[in-house]
Amino acid sequence: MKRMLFLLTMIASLPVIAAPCGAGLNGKVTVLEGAHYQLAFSASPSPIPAGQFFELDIALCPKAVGKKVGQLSIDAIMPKHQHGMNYQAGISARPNQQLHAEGLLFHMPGLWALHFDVAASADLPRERLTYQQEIK
Amino acid sequence: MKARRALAAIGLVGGSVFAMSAADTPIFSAAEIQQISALGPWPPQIHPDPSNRVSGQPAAMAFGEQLFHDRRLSRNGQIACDSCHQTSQGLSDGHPRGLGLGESERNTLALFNLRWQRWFGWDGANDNLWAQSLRPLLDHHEMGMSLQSLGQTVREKFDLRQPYQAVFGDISAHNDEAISVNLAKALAAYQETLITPRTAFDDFRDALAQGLPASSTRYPLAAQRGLAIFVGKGRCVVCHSGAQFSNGEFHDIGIPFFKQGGGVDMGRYSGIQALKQSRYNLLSEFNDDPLRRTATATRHVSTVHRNFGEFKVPTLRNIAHTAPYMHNGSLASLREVILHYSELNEDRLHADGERLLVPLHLSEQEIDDLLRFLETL
Repeated sequence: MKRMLFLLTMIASLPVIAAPCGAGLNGKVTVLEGAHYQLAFSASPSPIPAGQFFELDIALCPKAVGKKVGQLSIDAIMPKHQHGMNYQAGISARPNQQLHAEGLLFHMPGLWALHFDVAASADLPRERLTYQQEIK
Repeated sequence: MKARRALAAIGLVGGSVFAMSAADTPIFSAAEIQQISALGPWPPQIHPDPSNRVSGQPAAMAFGEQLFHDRRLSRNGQIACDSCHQTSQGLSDGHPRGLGLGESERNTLALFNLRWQRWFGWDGANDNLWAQSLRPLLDHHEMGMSLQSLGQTVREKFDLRQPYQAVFGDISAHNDEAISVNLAKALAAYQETLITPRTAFDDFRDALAQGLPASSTRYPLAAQRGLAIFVGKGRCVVCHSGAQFSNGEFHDIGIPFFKQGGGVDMGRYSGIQALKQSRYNLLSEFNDDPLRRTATATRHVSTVHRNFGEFKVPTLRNIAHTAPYMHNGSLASLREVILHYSELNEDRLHADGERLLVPLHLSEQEIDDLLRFLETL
């Protein structure tokens, strides 16, 4: 009994470690590092195919605790072709402070840059986080 | 990414060294084989269209086929779907622009492999095959009917009313619009069955995808060289991708978009506007799928300035049989199409358009090879 109490005391006294950004996401998780934010996402289907709609589950985490998060928007371009997607992504809130994006489609094979734009909030300036992937 | 030409042999003749190029047999890199593999397999899997409750039903397909050939579905009683979609013309009509009750502003698209398409028509004004099938019935340049005249025709003609009721139930419970949409759904069920057969290219593609040597099939060498241009120097595969040889989207390729009778064909821009206003899009009450599972594209598409003058990337399957080409039928042959890309007038591309197209400056041999490749699809 004393040993059990000792263990519980030890656990309770451990420093609280915040779960890493995107800990609740399923599948392959990609984490992007910005100046003010970490952004984690997982894609479905994965890997993202050319010519098919895909969806993203997203966790947007301010690096400083307690800061207000700005509104997220998503767009993508093919840097070599200088054109974007033909569809406008929609973003909705999910439980556990996650976001869900749908209506994304890369209509050509090649290099795509996926832009996550976080608008300025009361606490943080706007920021763009970019993920690049070769789509086959 | 360019195909390498193999050196077949290096030998000594009369004491001099020579290299025998070979015969022009392309050797495809691993990356190119991956690109070629993505052009199949053919045919793709078949699933019923959830937006059409009679999709895949034999009785609906048979009724749709009957309707496809029925001239009573036109205002003058002389035009059926098969007037402009003729088997002998690759399910097109061979004219630069469609000829129904009047002349259309656009080339008649062929009607095969439709079940896998996301958008219909050169401007994608419809997001489903049944709405696209209703459009020519009601267009005053094409068949010139109205919802009322379609409803009345089916009610009055026993040989239409009977199969209609076998597929859709008691016609007395349906108003003119419901009858018209149901006719279009039967037509769609039939058109879903129009699928191009496997080709010599598909055999070649399968062999490469399975890791077999190119020589294991009888695919002509000229076509292989044309394929190498298609996935290499020509970069045709960027837009003509996948088993359909089309990404299903819309691009400006420098074809003039002035109409014959004056004015401008706005292409995709007006197509999106028409789609959003349509009573028959996938967000409408006429979609039979309460979950709207196939409506993602419709929900998320919106107009942007570059949509002006964009037209649909057509499939290249069966392309040799569907001349003339382009949205306005302005290019009479496949050779002219290749020359268009070879000598592309960049001034005709939108200034804010894509930096994707450049003149290819193909040699006569390359043009012949690319042509030979397209003829095998």
